[in-house]
Amino acid sequence: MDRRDFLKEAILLVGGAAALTALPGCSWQDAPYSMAADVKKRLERIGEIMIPRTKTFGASDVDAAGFVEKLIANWASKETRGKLLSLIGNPHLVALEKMDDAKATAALSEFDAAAYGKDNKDWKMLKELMMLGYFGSERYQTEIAKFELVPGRYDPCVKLEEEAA
Amino acid sequence: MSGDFDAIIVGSGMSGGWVAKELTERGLKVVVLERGRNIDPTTDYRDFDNPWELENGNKIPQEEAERDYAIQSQWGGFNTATKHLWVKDSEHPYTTPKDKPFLWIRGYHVGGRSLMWARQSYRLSDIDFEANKKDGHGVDWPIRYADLAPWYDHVETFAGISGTKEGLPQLPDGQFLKPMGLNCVEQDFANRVAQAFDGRKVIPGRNANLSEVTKIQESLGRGACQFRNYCARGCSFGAYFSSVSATLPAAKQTGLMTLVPNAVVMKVITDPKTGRAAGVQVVDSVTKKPTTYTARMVFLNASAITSAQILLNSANEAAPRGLANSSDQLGRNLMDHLFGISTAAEVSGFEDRTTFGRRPNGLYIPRFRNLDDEGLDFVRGYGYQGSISRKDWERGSNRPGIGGEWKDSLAGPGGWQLGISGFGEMLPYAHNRVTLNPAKKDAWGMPIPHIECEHGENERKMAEKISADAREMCEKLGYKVVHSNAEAAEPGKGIHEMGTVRMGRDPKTSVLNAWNQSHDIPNLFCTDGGAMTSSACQNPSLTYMALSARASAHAVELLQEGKI
Ligand SMILES: Cc1cc2nc3c(=O)[nH]c(=O)nc-3n(C[C@H](O)[C@H](O)[C@H](O)COP(=O)(O)OP(=O)(O)OC[C@H]3O[C@@H](n4cnc5c(N)ncnc54)[C@H](O)[C@@H]3O)c2cc1C
Repeated sequence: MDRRDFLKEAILLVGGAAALTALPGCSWQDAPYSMAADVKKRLERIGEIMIPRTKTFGASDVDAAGFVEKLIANWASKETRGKLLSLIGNPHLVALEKMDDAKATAALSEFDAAAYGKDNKDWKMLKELMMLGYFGSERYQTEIAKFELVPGRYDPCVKLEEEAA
Repeated sequence: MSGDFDAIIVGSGMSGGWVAKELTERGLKVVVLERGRNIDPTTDYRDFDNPWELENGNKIPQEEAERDYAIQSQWGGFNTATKHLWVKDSEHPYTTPKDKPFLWIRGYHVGGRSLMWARQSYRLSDIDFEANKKDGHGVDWPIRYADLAPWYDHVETFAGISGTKEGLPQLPDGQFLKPMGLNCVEQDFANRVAQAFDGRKVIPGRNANLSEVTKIQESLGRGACQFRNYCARGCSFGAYFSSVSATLPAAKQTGLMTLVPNAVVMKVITDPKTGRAAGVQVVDSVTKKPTTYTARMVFLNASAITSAQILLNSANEAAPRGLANSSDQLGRNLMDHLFGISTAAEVSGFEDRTTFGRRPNGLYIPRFRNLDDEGLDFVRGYGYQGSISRKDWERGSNRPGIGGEWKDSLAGPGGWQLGISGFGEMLPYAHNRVTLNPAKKDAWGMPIPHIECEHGENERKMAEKISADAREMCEKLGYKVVHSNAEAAEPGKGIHEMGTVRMGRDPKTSVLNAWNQSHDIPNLFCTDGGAMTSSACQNPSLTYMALSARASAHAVELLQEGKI
């Protein structure tokens, strides 16, 4: 048993599980992050207001919030995760759940504009992740962006309508 | 001990692959010693993964990036699809002075960085080969363009370089496949730059991607580019030039190459009686078991910093400063290109136009400064690389906006945006230097490199001009500049390390002669970036290839004549 394992055992024995996170180099031993249901619901609400259904499908149709959830679990560092979770718990965003869609859209729009004014990096990150979850989804890429894995040729100048056709 | 080879080649990357091909095709029996693992295109390339299939949206977990890839992750192309091709900085440490960061970007596997490169391929000209002599920086190149021209022809024909003939003295034309041309907005940019600025030209990049396939390439199983622009993930079609797609298969066809992955070369050993290179000492990267390989000559192709490191680590009683280092120039004159000086601008018009396919190439603006004496406050010059393309949905993430209308507005392509970035020549300075860290060894027992490298006054002045010229071009054409910076990135980030084993005419001031052959040890050669006497401003790999092919041919002649 190496020193780290020994420390881990010792901490578990005396019941100091919280101290585990402070143990250097132990992050791989942490239980995988799993998002609480209420947090997930808030995230879904942010997604559906940010990227609603219009004539095309919206964030909720491709589970963009689920994508963000996975990134918070598997990509984000502990520090980033903490920041994103505290943002999702921001009262202004929590309040979206209780509003109807029109009110929620106005409120999120105001929050978003203010966040850019203040250079709120956490919001920009969450928005980017949600956008990636939506615009980067298989459904968006195949149905709307018409992504081709193997274009096979390059045309340097195409009329936009031809491209769309 | 493993003997019976005519030549040992250290490293299977861009330059080592060429040496293997040229020596074996001339009948020599070679062993290629590669520190990294083997690459199997069928399992190691991720070019058939759809973007949405890449774990974590193609992002590397932040803690992993910080822990294992502190340096590599600073390069934009480091992502889920390419992660396995970058070294773990945590396993391959080096040191720098605190105030002089150097970013050493690497890939250790069969093929080296030839698998990872951006494939831009340009010839140097006599303006470059004569520059040191003319302005007194560094030492004179021992060769001129005419010496290398036939070898540029040779490597271009085999590798497959797409491009256009332009008749520019500062950027000689070559043997090109049909170009991967400019799009309509770039063409408009090109026309207007040519009109507005005397002597300036915007041309299609010259890149090592097969826009069409010749017989030789077909015989190696290479296919045409499919315009996916996923080259950095490895190409299952073999459509871009790499050691894995081209030179190593050619060497293999001769039946004369033994390729040994997981072989970390520690030092070159010499015969104490003759002082000549006798072979190399190797440690197996997995088992750590030591071995010795012997041969009639040794080629170093481990890349500029590592080839210097190996020679420094080969010091012996007769050569206490390091092998082949009677000049004391070994490890010195480290150069990279000025990099990261970029300009972005919005281009109006052409709203009804777009492109189809993802071109693995861009535009190039060849050097236009200091071709004649312009009275500028710096010497040498720079070129630009970049493109003009339509913005995609990501344009929505850096400005306020949410909701239905905003979402729908992001569905089509956005406006056109130009992005160009300068590549500037860096001068050779003796104090920019690789030494061995006397206190630290890596996991294989090799003293790690200590890299000391900084830009000087000439580089700082040039960086400002790179930025000013780019802005001026945009403004004069009515483009709206949205980003511009005049400070170069830390050295190393250009990923063009060179100069540490330089060529020269005088054994007192250079390590290698005109044939990339050590002045001190006639059967020792180095043909990677270490050999470069000056950096010019063109992406250098094509020149490493030409030097490798030329030196290999000469070495075979010397061997046949009994001279080495
Ligand atoms: C992202 C990226 C973009 C680039 N774009 C361009 C471009 O557009 N144009 C251009 O000209 N250049 C470009 N380059 C640079 C180009 O890749 C290098 O110039 C070129 O690969 C250098 O060739 P080399 O043979 O010196 O070294 P490498 O290709 O790095 O090969 C060195 C090999 O030696 C092996 N090795 C190292 N140490 C040892 C040892 N001790 N024992 C045994 N083997 C060892 C390594 O594992 C490696 O396989 C780019 C590089 C990168 C990473």
